[in-house]
Amino acid sequence: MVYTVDNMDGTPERTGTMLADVAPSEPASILVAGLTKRYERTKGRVITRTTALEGVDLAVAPQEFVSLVGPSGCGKTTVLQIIAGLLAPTTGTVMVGGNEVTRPGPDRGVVFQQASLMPWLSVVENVMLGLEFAGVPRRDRRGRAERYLELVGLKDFLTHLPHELSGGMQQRVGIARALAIEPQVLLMDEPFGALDAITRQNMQAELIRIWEQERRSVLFVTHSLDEALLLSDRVVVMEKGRIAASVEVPMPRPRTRVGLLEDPEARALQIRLEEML
Amino acid sequence: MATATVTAPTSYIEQERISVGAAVRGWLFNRVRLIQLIFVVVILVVWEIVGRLLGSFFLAPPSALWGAAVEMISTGELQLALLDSLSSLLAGYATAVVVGVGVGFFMGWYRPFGETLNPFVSAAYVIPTAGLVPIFIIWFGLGFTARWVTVFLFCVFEILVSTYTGVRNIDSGLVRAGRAFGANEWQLFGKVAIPASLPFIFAGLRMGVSRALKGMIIAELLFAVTGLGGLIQSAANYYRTDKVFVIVIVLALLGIALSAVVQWTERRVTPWSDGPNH
Repeated sequence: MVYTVDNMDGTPERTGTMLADVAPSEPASILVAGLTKRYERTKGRVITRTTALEGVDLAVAPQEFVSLVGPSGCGKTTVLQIIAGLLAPTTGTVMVGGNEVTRPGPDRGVVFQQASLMPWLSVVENVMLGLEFAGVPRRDRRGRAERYLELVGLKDFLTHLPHELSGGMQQRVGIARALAIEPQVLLMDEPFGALDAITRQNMQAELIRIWEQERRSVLFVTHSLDEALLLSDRVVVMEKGRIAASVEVPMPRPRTRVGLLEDPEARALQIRLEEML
Repeated sequence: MATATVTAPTSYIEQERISVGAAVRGWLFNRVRLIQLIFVVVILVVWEIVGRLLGSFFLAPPSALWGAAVEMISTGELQLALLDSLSSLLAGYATAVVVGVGVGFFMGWYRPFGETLNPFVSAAYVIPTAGLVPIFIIWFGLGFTARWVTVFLFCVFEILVSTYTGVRNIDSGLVRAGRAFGANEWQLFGKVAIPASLPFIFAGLRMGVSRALKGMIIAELLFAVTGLGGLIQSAANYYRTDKVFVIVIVLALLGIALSAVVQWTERRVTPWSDGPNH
């Protein structure tokens, strides 16, 4: 099964394959091998050693949407931050698009739980700042920023300051900023965790819509199983710094929250996953 | 391929312009202004009554100040003293801004640097600078340098500590976002850290203005020969309380004017912020 995806501007097509028929030789978008992370802290005469990750292996195929779920403190955010290049692992390697990750780079777009927008910059300037940091030439920044802000539905809010926007709209800016650098993979760290339930549902629907248009590999960290089942091709369950399970989500797209509630297969899957957490 | 159905966000913001006249009226005539006005009038009336009862020798009433001001301006002594004071004030303040913001910023940004210097800064902060002025006179003489150094030391720590606090209080999420997008150290500096700490820096600059004024007057009073402080000293020696009050009012106006300049700059530079407590 081969998917053809149009670019935003309708120029050259990119092709990619779904996980189901990835040939063994095809490089995964994200390949994490033997990741461990240990912290050591000295306080007085007590040295505390914390193991956050213990031998994590994970692969995300091109265009695959993978959710990383688990209770707080299970290490899921640590995995994401290491892939983002914001944290160094104690041992293990991370490859993105065939290159080893040692620091942050424009091949990865990151969306944080807090939108983390510069409060002194307007919406469009925030996206352009991301492009500047990612090394995009000055003359391309404005057009690209506007294009991706339109994609997330904010084309009428370009000159607003972040504090003039609602939480959901701020997070859309965060998503546009990450997409605008046109990364190979999108890393999302509980991006809707700080939003109220209704905004959250709207944003989930929005994210699916955007992902349908801008197919990229997504690693989505969440502690909500509902959210993971609604959004992803595969759910990876983490527990105490290890991968506990990796489960395909077979329900056909487009999925809706209500549709999943009515689908006995989805409910059975959810119960199976709940028991693992 | 799904077609793009762009959902319009539901919230919107309305703005309306009012006339300049209406804006001025709204600023001038409201309950807060009225109470402030009554407060000022009551103080002036009480001052006037007490001043007339005690005599100008002891407490010049407000009505006598106008004449004293005219006298001081016509002889030129007020303007000369003001210029003299301003030179040391501005030189000392400007040096303090450069040093305070610079050192404070690096102390906040580079943890080891900050942790090393912090105890020394705290110690220097609590030393009553006024006590050192006689030493500065011994070291630097009665000229401009001693007053410059006094003003500098009076306000530099205020600015430094605010800047340091500001940099330490930068939302770590913003720095992380900058890093995640591949910003280098200079970009993080100029495009994230400096703008993010401006509200705190300006809080320090505002406090620094009043500290600088105090430093200036204390230095001049101890020198007893120059500037507005010197003028206060000589007026008091002749029991000219009317002149003393005129100079005090000039000092108050000077402080208000300088603070207004800082606040105006602050609003221009940090329009997104309501100050560090926001």
